Formats: sequence, structure tokens, C-alpha cells
Amino acid sequence: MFEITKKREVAPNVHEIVIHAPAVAKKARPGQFIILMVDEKSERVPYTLCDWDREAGTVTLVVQEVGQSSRKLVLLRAGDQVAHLVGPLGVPLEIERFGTVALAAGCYGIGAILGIARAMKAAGNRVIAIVEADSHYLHYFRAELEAAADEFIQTTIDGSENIKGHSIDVVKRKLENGESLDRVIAVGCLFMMMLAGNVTKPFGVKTLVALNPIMLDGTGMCGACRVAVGEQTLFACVDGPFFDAHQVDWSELRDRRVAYSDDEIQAVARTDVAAPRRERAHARTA
Amino acid sequence: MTSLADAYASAREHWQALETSPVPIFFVGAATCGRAAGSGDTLDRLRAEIKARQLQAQVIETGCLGPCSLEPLMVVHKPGTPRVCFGNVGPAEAVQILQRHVLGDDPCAEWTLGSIGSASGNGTGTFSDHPMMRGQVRRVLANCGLIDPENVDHYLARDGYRGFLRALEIGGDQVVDLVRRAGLRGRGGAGFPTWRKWDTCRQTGADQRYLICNADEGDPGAFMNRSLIESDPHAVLEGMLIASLALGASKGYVYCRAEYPLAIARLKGAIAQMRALGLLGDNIQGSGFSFDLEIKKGAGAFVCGEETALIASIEGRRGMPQPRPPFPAVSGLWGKPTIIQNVETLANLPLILRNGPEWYAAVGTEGSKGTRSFALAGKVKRTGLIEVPLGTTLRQIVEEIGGGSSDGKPIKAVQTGGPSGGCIGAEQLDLPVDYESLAQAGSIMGSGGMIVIDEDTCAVDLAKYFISFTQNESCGKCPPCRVGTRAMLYLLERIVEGKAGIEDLRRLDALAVTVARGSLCGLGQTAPNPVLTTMRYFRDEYHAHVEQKQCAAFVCRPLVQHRIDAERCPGCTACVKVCPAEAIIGVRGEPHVIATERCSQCGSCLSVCPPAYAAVYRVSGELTRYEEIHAKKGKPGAPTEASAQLEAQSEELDQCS
Amino acid sequence: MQLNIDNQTVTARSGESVLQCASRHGIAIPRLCSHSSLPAFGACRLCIVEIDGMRGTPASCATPAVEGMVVRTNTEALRDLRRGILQLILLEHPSACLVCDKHDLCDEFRPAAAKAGRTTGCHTCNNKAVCDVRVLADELELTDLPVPPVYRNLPLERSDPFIDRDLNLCILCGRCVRICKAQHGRGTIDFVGRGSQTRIGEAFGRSLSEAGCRFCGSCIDVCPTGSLADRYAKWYGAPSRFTATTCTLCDAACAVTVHTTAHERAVAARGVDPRVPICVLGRFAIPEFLNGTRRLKTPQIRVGSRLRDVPWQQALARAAEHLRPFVGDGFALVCDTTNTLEDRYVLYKFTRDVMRSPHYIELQPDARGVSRAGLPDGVRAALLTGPFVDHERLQQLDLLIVQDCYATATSELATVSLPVAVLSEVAGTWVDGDGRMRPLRKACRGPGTAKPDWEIISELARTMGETGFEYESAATIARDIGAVGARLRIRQTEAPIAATDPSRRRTHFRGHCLDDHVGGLSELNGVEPALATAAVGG
Repeated sequence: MFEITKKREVAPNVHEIVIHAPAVAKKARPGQFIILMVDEKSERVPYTLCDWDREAGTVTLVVQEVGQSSRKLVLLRAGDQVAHLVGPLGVPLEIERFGTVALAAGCYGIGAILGIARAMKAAGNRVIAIVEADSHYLHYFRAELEAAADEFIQTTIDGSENIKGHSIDVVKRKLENGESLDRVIAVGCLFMMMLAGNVTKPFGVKTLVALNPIMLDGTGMCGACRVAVGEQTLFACVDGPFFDAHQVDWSELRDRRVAYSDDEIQAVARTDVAAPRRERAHARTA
Repeated sequence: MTSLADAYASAREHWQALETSPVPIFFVGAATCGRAAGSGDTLDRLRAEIKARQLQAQVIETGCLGPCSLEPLMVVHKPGTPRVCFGNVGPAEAVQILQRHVLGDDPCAEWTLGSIGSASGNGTGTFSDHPMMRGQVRRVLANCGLIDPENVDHYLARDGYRGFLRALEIGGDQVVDLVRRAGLRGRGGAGFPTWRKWDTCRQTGADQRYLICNADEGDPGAFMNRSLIESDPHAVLEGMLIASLALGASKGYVYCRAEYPLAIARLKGAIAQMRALGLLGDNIQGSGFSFDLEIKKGAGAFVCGEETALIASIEGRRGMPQPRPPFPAVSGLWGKPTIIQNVETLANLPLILRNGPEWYAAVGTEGSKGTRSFALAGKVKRTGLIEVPLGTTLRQIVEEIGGGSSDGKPIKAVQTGGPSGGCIGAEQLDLPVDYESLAQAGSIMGSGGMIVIDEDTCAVDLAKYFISFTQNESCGKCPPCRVGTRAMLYLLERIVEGKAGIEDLRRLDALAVTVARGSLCGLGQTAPNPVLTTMRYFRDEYHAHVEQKQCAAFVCRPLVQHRIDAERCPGCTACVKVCPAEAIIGVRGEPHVIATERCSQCGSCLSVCPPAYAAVYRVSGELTRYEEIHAKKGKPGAPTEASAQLEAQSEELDQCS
Repeated sequence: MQLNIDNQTVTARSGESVLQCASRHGIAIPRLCSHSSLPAFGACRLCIVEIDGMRGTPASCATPAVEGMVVRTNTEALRDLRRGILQLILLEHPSACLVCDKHDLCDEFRPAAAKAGRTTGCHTCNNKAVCDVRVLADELELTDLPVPPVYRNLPLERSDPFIDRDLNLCILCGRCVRICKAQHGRGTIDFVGRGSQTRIGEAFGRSLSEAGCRFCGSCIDVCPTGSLADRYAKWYGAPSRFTATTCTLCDAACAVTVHTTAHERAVAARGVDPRVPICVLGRFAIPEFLNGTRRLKTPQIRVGSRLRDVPWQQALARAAEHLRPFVGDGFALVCDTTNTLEDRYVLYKFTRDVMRSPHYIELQPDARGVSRAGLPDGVRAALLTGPFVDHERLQQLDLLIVQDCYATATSELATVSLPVAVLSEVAGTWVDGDGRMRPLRKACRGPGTAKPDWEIISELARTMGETGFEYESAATIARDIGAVGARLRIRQTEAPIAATDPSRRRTHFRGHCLDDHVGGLSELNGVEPALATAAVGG
């Protein structure tokens, strides 16, 4: 069992969860992920390792509630236990002195780039963190990212704060203005990562994106997480999760991700009576 | 049940007895404003003194005479002399007046405001000649402060209910005609001609009609209706009888806000008295006219002053306005034709019926007849409840009646109409106060609130205050009001915090238009008025806030920095000790310095710096404001008693630490 | 009477509003809070128009049409004002997607909304496919917001049965409050608080169940945003098909429209007339009941102590083989009147002509829908269409064949277990409590290879070598038995008794306790849910 040491909703529907998992924390590297099961009957769900503290033995996840399993997870509170947690999984990101690295992120990705930003900076890169959110109230981790990066830019889609637009619009403007970016790493929803690839392709800037296909075992056996990258079929769990954006078959990934949507919706829809009761009990004691 | 005729007879006797009383009578103003000033203590002390001296004397609690800034007020009847009105009568003063004036011959000129009725003959002028009273024509407020509001005899003795009896004589149609010829317009806000409002209702062929007296008076700072009800409740109730007769309404409600407990108590008492006199119920005084009355308390919602929301509240529903048509005059309470009338409008009716429309219309302007009460407040020397003929100019009210600026600074503007009204710049002080002129100037007459501001009031801050009020009171039904006022408040907050850009002013303008035009009811439609008028008359202030981060009134804290003038500061450490942010650096004898980045702009240093030094000054944008040095004795800059004390204290403390 | 709207002369009916008159003549005026089933409220301020002689901009929904009125609905000033008002509405509703410059591209890439706990944009909104606000934003050419929007972060209300509420999406149009009052006359929900704190809620912070909600779902039906949602159906987007059929969960036989997805899965059912509510069973129980995970999906035969999945042919052959020795009065067939007329005809014919038994037992469910029966003494073999008979008695039988929709203790005893399609998975004719015939139309597929009762029995008969059971469809049978002229029961005036009085609501269908298969019902009835355990109910 793995104890949750900290849990808070940092933005609407975005939850920061810190879990005590010393073995994982010891080995965690930027770009990797873990798989956890909330209880003995849960789904196995992969979550990006956003940050880790090797001394304290904890790992930090940023989770959005999108279905039955993530809902179970975000209903937990500090002091609760998670049944199983395995990791770190996936191929760590290449961390070297590339020069200037731009990290573009949205949604859970804002949390995901924290560990990456630190590592890139420690390796001597100039790190630009560009985060986007639909509106000002959906931003989080501002102080943490400002500290971890050399340049920190916030955008909002509705223009309610700072720059109006998407993070990759900022990347595009920088490239158009002749700013040299040696590497771009984008973490966010499929659409955003696809656009990141489209923007950087004409400029020939190497762009890595964190792909999120459905996943089952996470160690390369089942093939559920396969993605088409260029001519190859690769597995996100053992070949990724970061891949070259310019080679990803985005429509295929999009279609595969919704292959089980009917079952997923059924799982959420079948009135899970236990969850509402749990939530009500929570609300009363909160 | 006493017959009305008998009641009049005994009332007259009673009143005469008072007028010619052989024992002293102390009339103490004990309405809410008087009590707030401490008249409760005055009454206690007075009664105790009378008892202790075993004096034969009467104490009567009256309502409000008008000059609220001079409360507690006391009118003294000393047998054989004209009655005298005294102001600022605390417990000690009351005892003094009893000893020196009533038991002795000392006129107590230091508290005398004037004699009531004829001149006193000893040099003090009449109360009605007092500069505050001189320009007033107190018709509706005639009884206020002079009668015991809980004693119906007083009301009857002064021709109370004669207006209603006349109305019974001439009948509803004639009553409407009188009101039309008098030119009475609604005193609640919109100023609609009263007779025409009644006509719409009268023409519906309904079996049941209702009259509602709107005593919700929600405007902050407005107290005209409260004062009138507390001081002379029957004036309003008689008005209701007259109106109901004209309308053909058999049931009436007084919707009074729950925050007026004394007014509600007075109404309850007055209604019981009416019943006892046979002025309520079936077939009143054998006339065939039946009418009954009920009080309905409000529950803390400003929006329930709006007609359809008020009706919803009486019906037990949530107070959210309905779109109109249908208008309440056609379909209102419980779906029946309903007329909602303001307290003051109703109180005018007995006067019109008693004295005739020509008398009524002799005062006022062409389009705005009669008198109107105002709650005069703000930066004038004499605040209170006044009543003037419509057409009186703002200048007359502010300077003559109000006595002009309270601290010598030039008047900046007059705010009328509460949160639905607007600021009228000082250059328009010669504007006559009537419905049309105020509307043209961008404001409204509203319910009668009138607040005078000078350069120490920030126009932007004032607008922000009113918008935060309307935002809080918005019922939430329609987006223009519910969200629009919040958006305007957001922009105003950015402006006063110095975070706004020029495009924010444009956005504020655009929002004001959307809210004014898009809102469902009067609350939302008029909510932008304070913003619109302050932007019209004080646009430069807005621009200064935005472009120079400057607040000329030094009110908007984020735009004000406190500094210490090294040349003036002797280093007394008074401010160092009092600063909650520990932002002042300084040793004894050395000029102190404020560390701006730690300063919270609380102003404690400014208030504690001895006036002899006045070393703390303020900066806002390009402006600097120093305080005047007030040397008490000796050379300029010499320590005052207060500062010497502070110095002594500081030394003590220094020695301890 | 005649009016002039936008330079068009139109004729208005007496009592009509300007908005209603305009709509009838194809003149579209933007609106959000007005609804055809509700009296005018005048809250959203979008339907404002200019009328000669009237001050300001009156709301066309609340303004009665009057002879000679001259109305303008679409001036530049009105469009500007409406846009300003919509912007304000969207300051309190997640609206970034509506002003995003990549809106069209994103919609193309992923048209369907993704599910999420809290909706923070159209991309995660259950209402995306059918949202009035999105349409309006498009129409009024919304591009930006005047000040930063606010997210109130109100708690999600997900602990009531069936209805999910996200008050952060609510635009306070008041339709839910109004329809609840109109249909039930009670104030289960109302506006609470004022100013920016205004929200919809129950008195004293009660839950919906505590406040006496009937769970008729009408509020969900009228909500223009994703704020009120049917928990079961919300993430399926726009249904691909709507089928009007009859609810057979009780003998009120209300007409319902069943919504199905592209996979032919039933996800929602609604009353056909929006002015009249149906009960919680018709409104919410049907999809959950039909889509339960423990539905019987494939035929099974007993091998040793276990039931094994086999193809239909094999199961029917086995059943036929076992039944032959019991032709005569040692056989009984038990069904109940939840079956269609077509089912019952074929079941009866099978009992009489194929099994030559007098024991055709057709049960009439009691007021709560429970059907129980004993078997005559000499019966040693039985075919049941539901768990109607005591376990003990069944254990005495030599042969038990069960055709049913859900696995039960009864089906666990069977030699042959056959999966049945029920409710809106079948077509046919049904008889309501007043003896009138009502049509059933097939709206969705049954699970696995489940078939309607009449089809199973017909195939069984044919497997046993009988003729006279060559029915292609329920319609064929209907013609044969003269079951024609069935009409949907569309209630014009009153709601069924079960909608207003929960004590009159059925608890069982075809022998199954609905609480066991519809989680929200057990919650509503205060019963411990059987779903939480692995127990098989009966």
C-alpha cells in the first residue's frame, strides 16, 4: 500500500497528489510515468511522474478526473492508501545540454513539465516554460515553474490573463522572430500536441510530445499502447512515452483512444452508488 | 368605539391643555435619529432629575424636527413664555436647561436654536428663522417633532383625518380631480403623475383592488420615509385612506422594511388607533367605503422596493421582478389591479384634500408642483431632514440650508437619488431641484437622498461604493444586472488599485450601456448611473487614476504613498511606534523615513504625527498633499501639549527598552 | 390581429407573445430562458426587441402581441446589446472554447466532448453536441469577453440518484425551477441567494431526494446547458435515433421516446409530451436495466454442475430433446403479462399445441409488479420466463428451462437458459391497465444474441418439428391475432400516478427486483444496493 501524503485540487478538475513510493522516487527520471491501481479491483491507469523527492521518498502526480478510475483516485485524501503503484516506466527523456529548450504545456501537462524543466536547467539549458489554460482560473504551479525555468510565459485562451492564445502560438512567434530553439517539448491534449508538431515542422526544430494511448500492462507485452510513429509501430510504454511529433499519426492515435469509449462511458454512467455515498460522507466530514 | 366627533372634541381639549399647560413640558426628539444621537440618555437623565426634584413636569417623546446634526433636540414649554427649541441636548445639557431656563431665567443661549411660534422677546430669533429652517416649507413634515407620534389626539387636534373626511364627502372621482389639479407626482423615484397612475387602475373593471404603501426605503443614506413614519404615522395612513377611496381599493398593505422596527411599531399602534376611531373596516363612518390595512415586513432585500418584486414578496414568493406588461395597476397583487405608492406621496394627499389643489400648486415649478423632503447629508455643516419647494436650487439647499461646506473645502458635487442616481458637478449648483432638471443633468430625483461631497471624496471611489451596493442587492435574475454590475465593479476596483489601462475605461463605458439598456428592472437599469455621471463630470479623475495612477482626493489607498518630510520631522518616533507594518525607520532626533515597499498605506502615521510638525505628507501620482501645521502657542513649529505628552511617553518607553 | 415584424405583416393569435408570433412566421429571435412548455420569465434578456411606442427594449417573450404593433427584431443596436448580454452570461460559464481562435479546427479534430469530472470548456461538456449556448455564440458572433470570467467552484452535485448537477455551468435561466413548479406544483428547487451568489438549490441545503424530488427528469430535459444531466446518458452526445414506443414497466403504459446511440444502445428515455412528466422508472430505469452487466447474453446448457455457453441451435436442440418426454400435463409454462400479446399468444400456442398441456400459467403482477405462482402438483417439467416460482418447488422438477433477461437463482437451476430481449429491444403489442392496446417499437439491440420471447419459442417449436410457428416478425403475429389499432398513450393532462406518488410505483418487472439492477432506484428507495456485492438476486 502506498500512502498519499498530500492531496489538493490546484485548479478546477486538476488535482495534485503526492504519494509515498520510495522505490519509485529513487529511480524516477524526467519523462517517465507510473501505473497505479486505487484498490484491488481498479483499472491499471498510467500517470505521468511530474515531480519526485528522492529524500522524502515521494512522487508527485497531477491528475484530471476523466472517468471512473481517475474519479476514484481524486476522491482520496491525504492519509488514504493506493493499493498498487509500479514504476518508473517508460523511456526517460534525453537530458543534455541542447541549448535553449522550450516546454509547452496545457492541462495536466503544466504539472508534467515541472520535473523536466528542473532537469533541463540543471543540465545547463536555457529553459523557457510556456503554459496555457482555457482561462486564468485554470492555471497552477506558477511559482514552482517560475523558479524552475529561466523564462516563464503564461497564456490564456480567453485572454483573461496575460497573453491571449495558445502556448504554441508563443512558440511560433519566437521562431518567426528568429529566436533559436534547440528543442521543443509539448505535453497536453492530443490537439495541442498535434499543433505543436505542425508549428515546429517548417522550422525543423526537434519536437517531442508525450503520447497517451490506452495502456494496460505498461511493460511492453500487451500491445494496447501501440502508436504509429513514422513507418514503425511503437509501444508508448517501452519505446515512449515521448515521441517525435513530426512523425506521429495523430488521427490514428485519436481514433484508438476512443475505441472503448462506450465501455468507459458505461462504467461512469452505471450509477455507481457507492461513490456518491462516499462523496456525501466525505462532504460531511470535510 | 369613540365617535369621531367626540374624539375631535377631546383631542382639541387635550391639545389646548398642552398649549396652555401650567407645568413645564419637555418635548424630546426620540425618533431613531434622536436616539442614535443619545436622546435615550437625555430622557433618562431628565426623568431622573424631575423625579429627584419632585417637579411637576411632563416629558413627551416626539419625532424628528429636521436638523439631525443638532440632535438630541428638545423643545421646552415654560409656562408663560414662548416655547424654545434647544439643540445638542445631552444629559448634562438637559439638566442645565431644566435648572437654568425652566427653574431660572437664563435663556441658555448656547444651545438655543430658536423659539417655536412667536419670537421669544429676549433676543433669540424664531426656530423657523434659523438658517437651516429658513428656506424650508415644512408641509408634509409639519407635525414632525412637534407632536407625540403615539398619541392620536395630537394628530386629530391638528386637523388630522379632516382630509379623509373631505374625501368621503366629495367622492373618489372628485378626489382624483383634485390630485390632478394639484399636480402631485410620485415621490418614490420616477415622478409619475399620481392621478394618471390611479386612473389606469380605476379603469380596470375589477372586483378587488389593492393599495400598497412602499415603505421599503432601501437607498443607503435615505431616511425621509423612516423619519416621517416614526414622527407622524397617521399622515401616511390618512393618505392611504384617501388614495384607496379614489381607487376603489378595499385592502391596503404597508410594506415596511424590517430594519425599521420603531416605524413598524408606530404603524401598528396607529392602525389600532384608527380602528378604535372607526376609520378602518366595513362601511367607514357610514360612508359605504370599506377598507382595511395590514403591515407586511420586508426581509432585507433592496430589490423588493421594485413594484413587481414587492408584490412577489407580499405573495410569499422570492422577490424577483417580472417583466412588464402586465403593469401592477392592471394586474398586480394576487393578479388584481394594484397601486403602489411611496410614503411621501401618500402623506401629501391629506394636505391636498384639506387645503385644496391651488394651495398645493402655489409652491413648486411648472412641471414639479409642491414640496419635497430630502435627506441632506455629507460635507455640509448642517445635515438633516429638510423639506423645500420643488424648484429650489441645489445651491440654496447646500449653502443656505446646509450651511455650506463643513470643512471649508470647495463643494465638488451633489449626489442625488441614491444608487440609482448620479453625481451632479458643482458647476451645476444653480440647477433647480425638479424632476426634469435633474434628469437632464444625468441624475434622478429618486427617493430624496442628497449627499454633498467635496474634494476629499474620490468620484471613482463613490461610484465603486454604489456599484458594490447594487451588485450585492441584485436579485440575480437577469445577466445584465447580476453579472454586469460585478464586471463594472471589477473594472472600478482595477482603476482604484492602479492596475487599469485606458481600454478599461472604454470597457466600463460599454458595460454601463449594456447594463442600463439590458436590465430587466429599475435596479439594474439605474445601477450604472453613478458610474455614468461621475464619468461625465469627473472623467479627468478617472483618467488620472488610470494614466497617472493618481487619486486627487487621496482616498484610493493603492494610489497613495505616505512620506515623511525630513525638514519638518524632529524625530519624535511617534509614528515609528505606531506603524503596524514596521515600515518606518528612524531614531530619536533624526528625521524618519518610510520604507515604501513595506508600507500598507494604513495612514496611522499621518493621524498620529503631531499637528505641530505635520511631517507626514502624501503623494499620489503627480500630486502632493501636506497637512497644515497647527502651532498652538509660541513659535510656529513649537510642540503642542499633545505632542509634548507623546514625547514624554516615547522617552519613558525608550528608557525601558 | 395584424402586426408588423421586421417590415413583414404577420397575423398574431389572441394571447400570443411577440416571440411566439415571430417564431410561427419563421422569424428567429435569440432566446435562452424561454421554453415552449413554460410561461414567460423574461430573465435572459436576449429576446429583446424594439417596439414603437414602448420604452427601452422589451422582452418579446413577455410582451403580448397587440394589434398594430411595429416590431424590429434584428437592428444593429439590438445585435450589439444581445452580444453584450451574452458576453455577460459567459462570464459565469466556462466559455474559453467559444472565443478560441482554433475553435473550428479543434471541433474538426475531435467533435465529441471528452468526459471529465468538472467541465472546464466545451471540450469536456456533456452538452456539446446539443448546446443552445454554443449555437447562440455562433449566431451573435462572439469573439471575446469584456473582463476575466469567474469560475465559482461550486461543489459538484453527484450524490443524488440519476441526476448529475454541475452548478458552475448554470446560467440561471430558471427553466428547471419553472418546469418543476409547473409540473409538480412544488418548490423542490428554486433560486437561492442573490447577486453573484445566486444559484439554484434546495431549501436548507437538502439533497434532491431529501427535498422530495420525484426524479421525473423534466429539469434535465429543459436545461439549455450541461448543468443538469442524466448521469447515464450524459456522455453519449446527441443520440442517433429517437424511437417512440411504450414503457412496459407498469400498466400505465406511458409513451416514451427512447434515445439510442450509433451502437444501438439505449441510453435514455423521455416522456413524449414535455408538459407532462413520467415517473422515474420510465424516465431513468429503462437504459440501466437494459444495459446491466449481468444480462443474459448467450444461450447456455447445463454440463455437470455448470452452465456453458453454446450456440442457439445447440441450446434449442438440447431443450427440445429434454422436453419431448414431458409432453402432456406434466409440463407447465409460466409467464406474466409483462410479455407482449404476441409473446403470450405464441407461448400459449406452444403449451397447448406442442406440449399439449393444460398448464399455461399467465401471471398478473400485483400493484408492485410482483408475479409469483405455484406449480400444479403433477408438474415435473417447466418453462419459465422469469423467477416466478419458489426455489424449493423448482428443485423438485426434473426439467427446468428458463428464458429470461437476467441471471437469477432460478436460471442457475435450469438445464437450458436462454437470453431474452425485453422492453425497447422488442416490437409488439401490449395491453395497458385500462385494457387498451399499445404499440411497442424496437429501439435498440438486445445484448449478445438475446431474442424476443416469441421468437425463441417459435424456434423451439420448429426445432421440435412443429409447423405453424413460421413467424417472421411480431407484426405477422399481430395480424394473425387481430391485434391491430394499437396507439401510443400520450397523456395530455395528467402525469401517471407513479410520478406523483412513489408508494404507487412498481418495484418489480418480469419477476426481477428493479432495485437490484438500477443503482439509482435502490438509492431512492433507501435500499442497500445489490450491485455492490456479487450476489445474484432473485
